[in-house]
Amino acid sequence: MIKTTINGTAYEFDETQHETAVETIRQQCGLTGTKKVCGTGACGACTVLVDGVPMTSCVLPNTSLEARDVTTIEQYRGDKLHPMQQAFMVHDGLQCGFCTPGFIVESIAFFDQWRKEHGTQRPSKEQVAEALAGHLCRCGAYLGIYEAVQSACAGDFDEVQEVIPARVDALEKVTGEARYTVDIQLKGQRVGKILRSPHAHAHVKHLDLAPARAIEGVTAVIDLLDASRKVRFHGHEIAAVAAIDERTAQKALQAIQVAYEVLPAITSLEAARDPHHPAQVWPEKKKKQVPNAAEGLYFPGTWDKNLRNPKLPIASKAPKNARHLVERAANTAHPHLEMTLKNAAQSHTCLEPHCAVARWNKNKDHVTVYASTQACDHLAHSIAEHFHLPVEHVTVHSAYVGGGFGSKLTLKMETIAAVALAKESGAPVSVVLDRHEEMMVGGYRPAVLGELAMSTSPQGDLEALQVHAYADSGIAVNSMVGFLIGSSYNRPGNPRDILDIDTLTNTAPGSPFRGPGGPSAAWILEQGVDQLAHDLQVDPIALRRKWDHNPNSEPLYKWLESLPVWQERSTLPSEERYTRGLGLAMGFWGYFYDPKAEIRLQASAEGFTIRTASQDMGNGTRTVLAKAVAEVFQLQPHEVHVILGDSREVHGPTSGGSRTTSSIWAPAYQAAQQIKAQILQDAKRKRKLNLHALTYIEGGVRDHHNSYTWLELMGQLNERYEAHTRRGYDRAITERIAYTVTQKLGLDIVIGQGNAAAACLAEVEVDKLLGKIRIPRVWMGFNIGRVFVPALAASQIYGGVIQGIGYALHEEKRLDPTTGRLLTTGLEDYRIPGIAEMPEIDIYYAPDGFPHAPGQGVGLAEVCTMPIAASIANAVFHATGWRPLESPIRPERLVKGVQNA
Amino acid sequence: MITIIKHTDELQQAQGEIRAGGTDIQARRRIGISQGPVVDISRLPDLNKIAWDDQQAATVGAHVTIDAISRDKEMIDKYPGLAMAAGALATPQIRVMASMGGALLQRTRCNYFRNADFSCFKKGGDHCPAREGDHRYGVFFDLGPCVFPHPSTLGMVLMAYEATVSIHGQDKRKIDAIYGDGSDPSRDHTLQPNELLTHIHLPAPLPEERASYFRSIGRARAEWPLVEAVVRLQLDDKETIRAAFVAVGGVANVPLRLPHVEKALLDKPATTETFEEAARKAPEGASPLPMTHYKHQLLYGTVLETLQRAYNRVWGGEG
Repeated sequence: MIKTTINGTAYEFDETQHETAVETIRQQCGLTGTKKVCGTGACGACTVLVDGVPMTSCVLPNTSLEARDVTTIEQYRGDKLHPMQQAFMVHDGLQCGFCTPGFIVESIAFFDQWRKEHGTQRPSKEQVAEALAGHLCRCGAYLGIYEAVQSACAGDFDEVQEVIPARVDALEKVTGEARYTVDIQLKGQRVGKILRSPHAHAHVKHLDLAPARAIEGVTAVIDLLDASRKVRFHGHEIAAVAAIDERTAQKALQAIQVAYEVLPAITSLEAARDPHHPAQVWPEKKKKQVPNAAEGLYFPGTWDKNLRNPKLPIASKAPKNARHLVERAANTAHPHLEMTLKNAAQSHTCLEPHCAVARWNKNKDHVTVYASTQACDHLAHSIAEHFHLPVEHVTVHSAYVGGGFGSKLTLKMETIAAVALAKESGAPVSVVLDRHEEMMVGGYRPAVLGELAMSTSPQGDLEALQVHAYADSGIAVNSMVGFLIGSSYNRPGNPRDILDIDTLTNTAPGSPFRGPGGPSAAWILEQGVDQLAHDLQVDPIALRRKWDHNPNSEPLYKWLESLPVWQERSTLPSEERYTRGLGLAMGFWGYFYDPKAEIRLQASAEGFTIRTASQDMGNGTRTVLAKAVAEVFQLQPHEVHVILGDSREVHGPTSGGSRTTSSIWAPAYQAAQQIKAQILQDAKRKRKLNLHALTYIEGGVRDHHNSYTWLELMGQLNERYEAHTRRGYDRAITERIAYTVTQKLGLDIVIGQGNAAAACLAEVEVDKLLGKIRIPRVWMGFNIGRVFVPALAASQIYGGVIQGIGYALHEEKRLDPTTGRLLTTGLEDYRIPGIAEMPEIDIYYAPDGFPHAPGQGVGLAEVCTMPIAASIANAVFHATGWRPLESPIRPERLVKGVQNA
Repeated sequence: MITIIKHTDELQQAQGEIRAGGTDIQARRRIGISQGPVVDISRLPDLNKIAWDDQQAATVGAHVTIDAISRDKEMIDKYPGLAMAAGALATPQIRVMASMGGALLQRTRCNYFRNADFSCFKKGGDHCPAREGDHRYGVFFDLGPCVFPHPSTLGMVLMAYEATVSIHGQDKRKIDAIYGDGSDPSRDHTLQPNELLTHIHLPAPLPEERASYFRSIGRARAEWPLVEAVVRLQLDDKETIRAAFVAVGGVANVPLRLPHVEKALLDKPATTETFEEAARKAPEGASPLPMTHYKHQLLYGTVLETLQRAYNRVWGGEG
């Protein structure tokens, strides 16, 4: 037994149950505020203080806790928060909140040290970055974190009693009280584990589960293969087990006997393009079980062995003419361009892995599932369908979600396994992917190869556009890259030959990743436009303006032109080792909403409670809802109680396609207005208040004599209020028809009128000798109409920027070329940006973009990440004269590229 | 099975892989790369001190943490190259847990090795999957069947300091000897399972010597080096280089001293021209793999940068 002190309480634990401190702290001591993510000490989520010193508990032997004084996030709860926690709340140094306890604990240790040595001097960003170099935040809350740490150290929160948080669930996140799915520990809960294919492609001839069942402590063993009995990628789920503990579950996995007939496998995009390759990923005639890697739309297409060619309405038109024009241009002195560009696959690597905990009732006719999902309501329907249950017999809980970014939109194997294992076990079962599994099957943005050809008329018009995009989403289809390119600069009469080919490979399926297809589309097309502007010696803004058909871009061009940094940019790349450059790229995204999104708002003397079966994965759903109510009643948003993450509530939107805010703001606001009107009517009737004499004050009303808060007024009226509203359609007929189509595809989504627009101007500093790129600053402009919660909109943009920087410079999912097995299995090999990568970000919002949208605003989560990588590539070209055709622009590529240029 | 020993004599009876700070072995155990019994040595006494003799030479106990080396005022003063490297590697949390002994004897960071889905020489296999597969972070000097660079930054730095190490119950060994020549792909160091590295002995610094450490990485911080270098220089009154020590990492499966670069510096004026000429020699004799040709420029650039930083006494280590 090991004796230790945690947060002032003595603990004694059996050190042989687990080896490292994080499991002991979370599972044996029940302190789940500390999170386990990477398991290698790379991300800092599990940081605790040992005798006041921050350590990553995932690699700290639990025996090292003997006679030590341990502090976890749970120490910082109760009446008085630490100034650092208050600073994180105010400066929004968090989004999904999963990495937050680690950041807070480390920052508090830094604060203590800093105060000792420097008093209330403000630390520099450099010093903060140095202190927090061992922490990673996938959402990209780094700018808020800088500000929080600097201001807390400077004493800004020393005397502060109470703070107004930027997001309404900040308190739960900075105290570690927010319970994520990985923190759920039900009575009698079993551990579920999945057996995965070691082969990229094989036929499972024989699967013997009996030896696993025979092991003591094993409570369920299930077969996960479909009728084809095939595994189509390394990591493909074969079977699952549940057992009383992790070790027994591992033992059971090893006991399962599988006989494989190994089949030829395709492991690269290039191989999939080879018509003579012996492997075929989907030889079946019917391709119904082929997964969709895009968020919404699915274009039917034709198959040619391992290639799929979807038909693209509008995006591809007069393709023969386009081909002719670019060929003619290539054979003459006509201004034209041909380039082949590539993107590596980008893993979502949400810090909370894919996971689910399932529990059936005694009769086994109702299942409750805790899931890390961005589609609480939709997931309940999918589970019901999969397990042949009435939807009322399925409850999904997803109160807190540790990141999603598109990878947690649908029913996936961890949830199916948890539900099936729980049924067979007669006990709750959790299935939590480890980091290797998460990197393997947790989703990624596809690898893309784009063959681009463009020709321009002598007047500088875009004469023809040809893009053949090949995307490797593994066994999944539908990258949307070609479609999005074809939908850009699409003026009437522009011929364009667009192919959007899926190259099927025996690798794990890709899944939608924030603006699916968008960053790749921009990487290809916006570099083409930039290159043509350079070749034609015209201003890149002028050229885009001439070609752009999206009216929402125009205010952004005006804004870009007004920027002094743009006006003063140099024209020639420098010969020096260190050079600077500026690059521009544009982006757009559809305006999506869920017309059936519903809101239930209740109000009484006890307070305001708003509910919907949606979720908050750090995108700010809770805060948007609270703000809508708060705005009507002039309250502070955190005074409104928000209930999310429960599928039994009224229908709420899936958080994907930038649809959450555009679906919920309007009905929430409307519900609040309805209740306000009712209260006033009752006040007139029962209390004889003269409505004409009333003035609104903060959080209430005032007449000639008295002022009342809304709560007091409702108390005096002795009434409880409830409003139930629905989002509805912007334009009833056309969008209603569209909805019937999308609903058939299982999507509660409608495309509204107009496209959101974004512009990104990035500044880079390049060290040509060592191949290193730094991004000191980016300027981002948006035309998205009204911004409902500016602080959180900014946070979303910061996240979009840093994920775009990761895509441009660092992130690359790599597979072994021979076996198709994953090489980037953790956060040491798969490099997401750290706090020091975060640039300064200037944001501009064009006014008046979406007057027709209820609330006058649309979503921005996707449009804000689309142009980032392309703008960085264009900036690198501006700085060096070398065009980075392939991402990420890691040092090895830059060094080689600049050398050869 | 984890055995905690509290006295070095218990080592002979205890069977298992040695664990000190645990940062390397626990990461490997989590993914099943280390599975057997463990001998925890973290409670062995008297190994967490830095001692100084009357010649101003340091002896560092194996349990001294990397963080302690990076912050110790005497170490910073006397062995700035070592302190700088200690402050630049891994992350702050790892540096407070990881021991000097463990830093020298950690296993390779190759992502084929640290992956239960692959067999390799270091896991009892008979081939190097990285050589046939993805070796973009592989070696530039191909010294043996294993093609991943040696993981120990501090081992590389200690080569430039011509340090020796004590193995419990044995004579001191030169630091080079614990790494060998890279021809045995099954090992990251030459110690036998029950051999315990107890101390690191640094020769007294040269009068007025200056040093720097620098690593070339993609991100701003917290990344394994693509190429790294440490440089120690001693200049006379006329700024002529009287002593030069240059070692590099990230380029071979053992830490490398570069004597030909040192020779190109000796007795030359400490000028940019000298540094450039010497740095240009760094890649000489290289045998790059198909995917590591880029390290030619990075090696040149990193050595040049480190020479200039050493000359200018620039503190800081990542770029």
